[in-house]
Amino acid sequence: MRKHTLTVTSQRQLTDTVFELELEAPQFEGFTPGQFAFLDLGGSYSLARPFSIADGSKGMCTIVYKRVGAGTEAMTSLQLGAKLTGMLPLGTGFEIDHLSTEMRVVLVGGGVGIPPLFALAKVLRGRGIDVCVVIGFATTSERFYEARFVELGCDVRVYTNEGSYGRKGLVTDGVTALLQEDAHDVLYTCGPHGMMKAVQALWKKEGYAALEGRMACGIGACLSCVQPLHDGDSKRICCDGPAFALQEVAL
Amino acid sequence: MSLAVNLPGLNMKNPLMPASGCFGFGEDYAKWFDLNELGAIATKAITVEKRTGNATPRTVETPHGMLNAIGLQNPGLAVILQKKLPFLRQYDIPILANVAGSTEEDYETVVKALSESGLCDAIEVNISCPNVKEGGIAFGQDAHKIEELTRRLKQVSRVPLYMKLSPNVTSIVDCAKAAVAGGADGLSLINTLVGMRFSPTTGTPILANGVGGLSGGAILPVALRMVYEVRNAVNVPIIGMGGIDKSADVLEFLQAGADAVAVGTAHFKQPTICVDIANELEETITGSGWAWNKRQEVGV
Repeated sequence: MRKHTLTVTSQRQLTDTVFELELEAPQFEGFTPGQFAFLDLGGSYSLARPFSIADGSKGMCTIVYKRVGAGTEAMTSLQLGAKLTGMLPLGTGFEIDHLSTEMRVVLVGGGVGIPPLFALAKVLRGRGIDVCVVIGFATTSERFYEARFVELGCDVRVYTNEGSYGRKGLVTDGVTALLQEDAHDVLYTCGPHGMMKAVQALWKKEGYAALEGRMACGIGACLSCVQPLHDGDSKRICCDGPAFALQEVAL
Repeated sequence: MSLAVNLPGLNMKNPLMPASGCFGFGEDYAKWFDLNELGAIATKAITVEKRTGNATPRTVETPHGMLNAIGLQNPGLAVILQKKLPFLRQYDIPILANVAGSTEEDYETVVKALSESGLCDAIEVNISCPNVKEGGIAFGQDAHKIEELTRRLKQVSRVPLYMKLSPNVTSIVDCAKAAVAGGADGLSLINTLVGMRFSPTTGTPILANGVGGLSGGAILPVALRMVYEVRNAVNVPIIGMGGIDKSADVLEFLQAGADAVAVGTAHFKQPTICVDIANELEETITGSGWAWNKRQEVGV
């Protein structure tokens, strides 16, 4: 494997703090939903940054990021044609090979955990699998990607904390409602730590979670991003994950 | 011009090796390039028992560097002898096995077992890990203890011993002299500098361990100064390290008096960094007009 040279082909602001970056990546051959791109911003930034891949095909890759620190702040000023380098796709994506059209799938996401679930929904809908999407935002102004899930033909349920849009409450209220319906077989989740922990406590059927971690190497060597497991052992988010069996990880 | 260097136990085709802790036991990087292209490899620290390491966050970025507090996570001596080192042995590169411990007996156990296994060519003794209690720093900050530990380990080791020195000391020269007095075959310097970062929102340290070791470009001038001082004080080979990420940095370390170098943090942005640098190094040295070959004759 070699590092890729990437060219910015589009940068869109989705909300006050969330941005979508589309990159031309000539050597990129595709990915499994849940895998990530490890982007090197150059300059004085001594570490690359992991972003889950939201969409991509041969030669193109889209990531969505939230402005949280100096690095992501600098990313917001990347102009069309700007070059950066990166390693992609990295990590182990969601387990999906075993899914069939007989199975009903639910995706539960929040914040910048939503983009990898979009990638997943796209693959699953392409295989003719029914997908229910439960996504949550603090306020109406933080919504993004809802329309894209609708376009794919997903059953989309949006929750906002104050009920200013969609249903009032948290995505965990959506999971509770789904459990009462008892119509879904497999759950995939990605979002804030507290959200996934709450989902883990509710959903005891087959499930998977994609986790975030502070990484240095991105490929398994440095042991920065270890995730404790319930069995007392640990796994590396960057290469054993980011996607894990939901009940395996001690969140 | 040949880039080959011969250090005790380490017959290197070029003077570059990955630094301990930044390269695991090579398996992850073997997917990125042919490890045969390395001059040598320094393994992750090996302890008697398995260590699970510190809580997360374990790393945080800093200007031109990073802090880490991994906590010597490793699967323990037995698994390393059974699986990790045999994997590395399939490559035609010298292996510098890095050893850490909490007590002198721990160090002795690991050094003896490794040196008798035939699975490493030299041992690097980490007496300078800042990130775990009794991670070695207690030994590394006291010249008398350095000398005693070195002497004790020399008695059980069948392979050359490199003592890896901490920069978190008043006099690096005193530590270096102590290691040499104890019989060290070579020195590795420097380990990381102890540092902290705070979260602006919580007001608490970002690393779960509180403090961590600073590495990366930010420490390069400190490392060069220490290599230079030690070079002028002792006559054993020096493996220099600290913030190297290009061939010009290697040239500076050689000029300061290092006989070989290790690259650490730069791997995280560029997995092939050692090979990339090795490929440019001859041109960089030749272009500088500096006579490296004269340097090579010293201390070997």
